[in-house]
Amino acid sequence: MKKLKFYFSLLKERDWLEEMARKGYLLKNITMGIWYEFEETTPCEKVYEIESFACDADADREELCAKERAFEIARETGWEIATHDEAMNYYFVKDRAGDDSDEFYEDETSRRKKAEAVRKRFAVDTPKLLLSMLLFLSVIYIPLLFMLGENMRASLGLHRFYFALVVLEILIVVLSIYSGEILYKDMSLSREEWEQKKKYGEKKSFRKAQELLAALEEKDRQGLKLVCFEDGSYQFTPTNKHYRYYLDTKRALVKRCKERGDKFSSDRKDISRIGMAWQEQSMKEAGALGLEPVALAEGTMIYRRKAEDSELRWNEDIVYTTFGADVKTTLISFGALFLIGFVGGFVAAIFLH
Amino acid sequence: MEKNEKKAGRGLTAHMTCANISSSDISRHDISETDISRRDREGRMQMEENIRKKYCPMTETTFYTLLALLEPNHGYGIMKFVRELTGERVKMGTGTLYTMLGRLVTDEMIVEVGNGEDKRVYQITQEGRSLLYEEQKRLKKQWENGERILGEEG
Repeated sequence: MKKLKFYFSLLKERDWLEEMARKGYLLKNITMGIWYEFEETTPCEKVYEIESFACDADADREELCAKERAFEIARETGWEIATHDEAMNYYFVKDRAGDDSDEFYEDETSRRKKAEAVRKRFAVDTPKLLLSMLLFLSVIYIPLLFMLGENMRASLGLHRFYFALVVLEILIVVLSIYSGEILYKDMSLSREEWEQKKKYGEKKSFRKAQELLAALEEKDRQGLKLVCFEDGSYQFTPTNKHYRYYLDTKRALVKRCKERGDKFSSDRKDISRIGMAWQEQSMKEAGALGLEPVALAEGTMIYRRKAEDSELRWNEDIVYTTFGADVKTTLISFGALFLIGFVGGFVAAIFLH
Repeated sequence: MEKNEKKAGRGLTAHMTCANISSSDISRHDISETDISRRDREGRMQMEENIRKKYCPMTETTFYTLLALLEPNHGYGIMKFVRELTGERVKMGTGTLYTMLGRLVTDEMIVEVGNGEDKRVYQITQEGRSLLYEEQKRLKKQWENGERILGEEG
């Protein structure tokens, strides 16, 4: 059986391959990373692992011998090589044991090290190669385009070809950097952590503060507490405690300061807004109320305290989360710009005629 | 003691002259033999110091791997040894093991001693052995400190 599929995430690809094995399809071949060929067998429990053995331009002894070493040990521990693709990704497969031995890398340090190498390949090496290719092409093309007359240029369509190439290359560079980041995050997770992430992760964006609070309360009823917010996804973990959640935003903080009669002064050197002046001020005020900070999610501070503590009302007038408010401002400013452009164009057209 | 050092220095100088510094360099700057040997020795000690730092404290898997390689052993043999020694608690992954072996060979903590029946066989080196002893001493100290504080508490 053949299937056309594309995954940015190695872990999602792995999951899908394992799901296919459960349905009775074993991976036989991959072409260009998207064209999967399967062999039909009886349904079975397998684990897959995808490992790259591309040779670095500056490989040392460790890297040069990595593939042979890996193959030798893999063979003895029950891993087979199903196939490999054009990017020298090798697909290892093994019967599922259901314990640590299913893990190719059982400790986080070695997972992270591997992940860093992959990130470098996608986010640094590939973009470098593509951009130098583009530079090389430009050296030939730009003089050529100037030398040819306008008629020739138009009839050959060379400029269009060049333009399309530039756009395509930039697109691939962006995609490569993006997938490098995703791969890095995925590859540092163990199988167990990944299962947790899938089970208790919630990829969602809340515009309204009350909706976010309601969602957190709902999770609390299910016995889950918020751990962190990462890549636009809220991560929860099971708990037997119950909490009440509170939010704070920079807007709310500035407003509170104004009401008290003092002014909130942020760090004046912090021009790119990477400091944590307002967050620190917010945590100080929340700490005085007995709230503990959990995470900064969608630009909004999330706090909680134990549900059995005395009732506390704080920041109940927040309407939008920071990102929610930002989306609103962006939409309004886009609308305004569009209107200005439209009116401006209209006026210009009247004057010109 | 001094005599020994001098001897080691002479040996190193010969190796330096051909490997790192061309003969023209020497005549131009007129570096005396003792200078080179001292610098070389310091450089080597610095290198060893850096590598040592990398392994201190050692991960549990590295420690057990070095233990397993006091006798010549191959990849899967190391895995089995560590499993049995720790009562199935430490189960090394294939990926972790092969990357670690590669790094240990590069840092000369272990060497490959021929391919026995198509398998790579590894064994600990003198440096690896002294590193292992050092780690054992460190662990003992750590255990003693823990015992002192926790012992008082319990």
